[in-house]
Amino acid sequence: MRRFRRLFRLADHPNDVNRAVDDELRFHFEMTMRELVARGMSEDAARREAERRFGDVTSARERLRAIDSGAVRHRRWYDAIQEFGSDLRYAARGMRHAPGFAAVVVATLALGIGANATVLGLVDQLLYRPPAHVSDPDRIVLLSASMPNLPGLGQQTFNYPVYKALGEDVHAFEHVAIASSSPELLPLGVGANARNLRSMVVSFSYFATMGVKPARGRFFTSSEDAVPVGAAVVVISDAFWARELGRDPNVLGRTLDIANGRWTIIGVAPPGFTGTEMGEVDAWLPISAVLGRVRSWPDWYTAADGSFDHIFARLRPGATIVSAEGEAARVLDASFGDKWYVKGRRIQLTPMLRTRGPNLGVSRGVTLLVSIMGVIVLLIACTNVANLLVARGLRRRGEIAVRLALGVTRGRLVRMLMAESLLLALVGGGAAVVVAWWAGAALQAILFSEIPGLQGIVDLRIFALTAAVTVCVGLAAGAVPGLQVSRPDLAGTLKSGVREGGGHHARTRTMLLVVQAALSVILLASAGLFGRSLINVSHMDIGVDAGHVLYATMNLGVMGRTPADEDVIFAAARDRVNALPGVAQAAQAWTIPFGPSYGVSAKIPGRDSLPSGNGTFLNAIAPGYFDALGTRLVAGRDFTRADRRGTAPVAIISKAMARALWPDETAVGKCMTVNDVPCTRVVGVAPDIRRQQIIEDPVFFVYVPVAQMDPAAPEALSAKYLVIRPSGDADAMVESVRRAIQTAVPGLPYVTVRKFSDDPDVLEQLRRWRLSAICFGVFGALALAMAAVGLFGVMSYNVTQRLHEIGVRVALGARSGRIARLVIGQAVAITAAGVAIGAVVSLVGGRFAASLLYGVSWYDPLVFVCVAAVLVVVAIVASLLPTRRALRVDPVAALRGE
Amino acid sequence: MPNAELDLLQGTLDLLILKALSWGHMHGYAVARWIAQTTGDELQIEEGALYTALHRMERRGLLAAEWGLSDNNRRAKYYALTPAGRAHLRRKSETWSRYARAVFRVLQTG
Repeated sequence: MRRFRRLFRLADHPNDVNRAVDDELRFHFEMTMRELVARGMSEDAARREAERRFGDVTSARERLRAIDSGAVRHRRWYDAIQEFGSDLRYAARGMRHAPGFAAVVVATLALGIGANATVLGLVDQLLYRPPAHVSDPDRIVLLSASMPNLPGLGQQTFNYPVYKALGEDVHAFEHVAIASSSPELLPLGVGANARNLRSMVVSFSYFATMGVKPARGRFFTSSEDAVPVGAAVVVISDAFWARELGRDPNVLGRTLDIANGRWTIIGVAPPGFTGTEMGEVDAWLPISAVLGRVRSWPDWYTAADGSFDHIFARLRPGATIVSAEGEAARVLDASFGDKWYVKGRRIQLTPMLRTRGPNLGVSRGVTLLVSIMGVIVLLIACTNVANLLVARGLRRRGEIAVRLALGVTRGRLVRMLMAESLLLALVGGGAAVVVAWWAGAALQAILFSEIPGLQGIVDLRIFALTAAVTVCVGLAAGAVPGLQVSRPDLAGTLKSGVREGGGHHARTRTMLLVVQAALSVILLASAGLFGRSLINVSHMDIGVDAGHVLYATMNLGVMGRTPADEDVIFAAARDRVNALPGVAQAAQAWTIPFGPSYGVSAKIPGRDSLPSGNGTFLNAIAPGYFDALGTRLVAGRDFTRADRRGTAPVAIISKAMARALWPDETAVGKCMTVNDVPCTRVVGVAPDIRRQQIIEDPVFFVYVPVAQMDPAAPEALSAKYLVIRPSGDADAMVESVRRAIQTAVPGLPYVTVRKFSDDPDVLEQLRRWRLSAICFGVFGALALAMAAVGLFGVMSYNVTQRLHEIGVRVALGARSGRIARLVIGQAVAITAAGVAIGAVVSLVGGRFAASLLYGVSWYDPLVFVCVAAVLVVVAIVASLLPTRRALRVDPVAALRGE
Repeated sequence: MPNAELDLLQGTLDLLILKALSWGHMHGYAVARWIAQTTGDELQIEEGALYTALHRMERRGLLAAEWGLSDNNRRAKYYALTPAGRAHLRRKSETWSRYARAVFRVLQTG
């Protein structure tokens, strides 16, 4: 029936609809009137009677038109969908006949879109993704006090009195909370089953500031979080409840043995809630309970000089950040104006989402750079795909011309071509999702391995965005061959065959290739520079053999152990570990590189002023410490068991300190006054070992024997770390060392053992170079692969275009070398142009990125020469196959024309 | 005709049209004449409503329409039943007959 309708041209168009209705009604009236007139009425009477019989003609006509227009619209929709379906099926068949082409396009799209989705996911996770169960995270701000001339947020930790003052006096804040700046690892249980509880120590107002509701039970109240000692209550996370307590429905009221006490579980947080932290949190404890009970620090709530914890606030609805900053600054100036963290600083409030990335060691600058590179790679991928589609379109010119001759409209043809591109884009997009998912997981494992429970990089929002990008790419790429088709004269192509090419097209293609080569150079050069920075930083001599030395620590202070106990425990641990086969040396110390610092003042008798350098720091160590770290003293001797309480006070100083204090003579044997202990004799000089940062100017370090510390004295430094150097592979020894220490003395809390290179601080400091090097490297490789594919395609096409010309040359006596040079020469020329442009852009832009590099200049010649060489080699390889085809040309066939 | 009776007529009108067309394809005027003749002019159908019903049923797929030439060589729109229309006619006439019998039985009691 539908076909009949087509041929008899039933109404398809709105005008046709109206005309058809009119025609039908006119026929009806003619017939009625004919009948009436035949019965004897006059014409006029007949017409009147006919109209009477019909009823309201005008409204009837409107109704009929409405019904029919609706039917027409419905039918058109249905037909369009049918058509689209058949277009897709036809496109799928076409792809099956050209699997190589389809594979290359799908791979290109998958890698280009997938790489972008991964980068988007990373940026989103670090900067934009709202934390689970936190309402309106844009209204939550972090307090910081920055120095006027220095970039960055400045001081981000404060103390309890500051929190109280802000809570009471700043009206722009609806809630204020204080929270530990990173999760505290509190001992959970003792002995062989000891674990660590990743806990946040927070004020009761933390939950109100976050705007979160408990999943079970409740959060602690202000009366439970009251000075001076809070209640022993704890809120656990959903993950902890599942993992450790098996989702016990009677969890409320159960107790946990945290540090030295018994704490009652009063609530469970909703699943996925981690508050302001990015990684997993096991529990939240009231700050007054932890500081009052666990740390037994009576005046903790009045200490206004220290800086320990983050302060967050939720802005009142309607309050702006600027007005809140002003109020906060006034309040702080009034009560804390002379404190070091307020004086001369600018009080800033930053939305909490903006602070998380930088606090993980990934600055906004780096994420911006990486995102831009991702977009560039996507553009390269799209232009490549467009090029491939255009080339394929040219090959199908004959087929398209035949279709047009058979009566297919241009619009229909364009729709068919777009269906093809869309199909390729959809398949490519699907593959891109897989690529992004895998790449996201890999990136997370490589870059954020020390943060447990980090949310996946790629989530639903990124999937949706990827899908949208895929569809846009499909439509855009399909538009190019579509435009190609709408050029008027295709009749000529049916006759002239492949020889026509269009100089205009060729120029555009060549330009695109040059641009792709240039972009590859930029990306690979960046990768090379960041890679060298990373290598430089990783292999710097930081004073400890980070990849081969372990350290062990446990939280004894919160277990109620005295410093004397700590010394005994660590001595026992040291003896146990030294007895293990596979351990070369172990020694305990108060602190280790990247651990806490203790500042002191040192004086030399007879000298009034001393060069202060970057500060003087103290460490209490056991004999063998430097050997355990994997270094050797520069002069003098290490401590021995003979250096203990009662014998002459001795010290070892760092090389920088020795050189500054006694530049022309040896420091060994000299007298120093450390913290008012008269005449401590220097017995050795140690190499400069890092204190906290991998990139750091040397500080003055004074080492004293742990055995010479008086455990009863208030500032006594007791052992808190054990440094272990295995004789073989460090990773293999971690578990055995841990077990040896855990059971060295009964009732010990969880012992953490790790390599120095796995230290979270170290990893965080290395992260930005690792991220940059990995991302630029991967993007550079992708860009290069795509450029190679593009080059291959264009070279093949060019050879096909010039078959005739090559045939002529061969017939005239040109040798293979000449022909080969013709093809390869063109490829190299394009690449050289790209390299030149890319190098220039890199050099110009590199100056701005110089601050991100380390140990390598932004114009490092080695990197650029290597990148150029790689590109030229790739260009030659890409043109090998077309060259071979050119060499195989049969001059007779070529001259004959087809 | 007052509206209430017209509404009742709508479903019945569709039935009459379908029955008319079960005799073969006809144009709108022919359908009107056939109904008038077959009912012996007892039912006066408003022709506007008739055409509306024809177009509605065509849109629903119960009828198929095509343009053709009438006896006097004029262009006219002819309607015919589709298989769906035939099935609809069967169902609805059964329902209507049952309905009429039920009403009749009630009315017959006294």
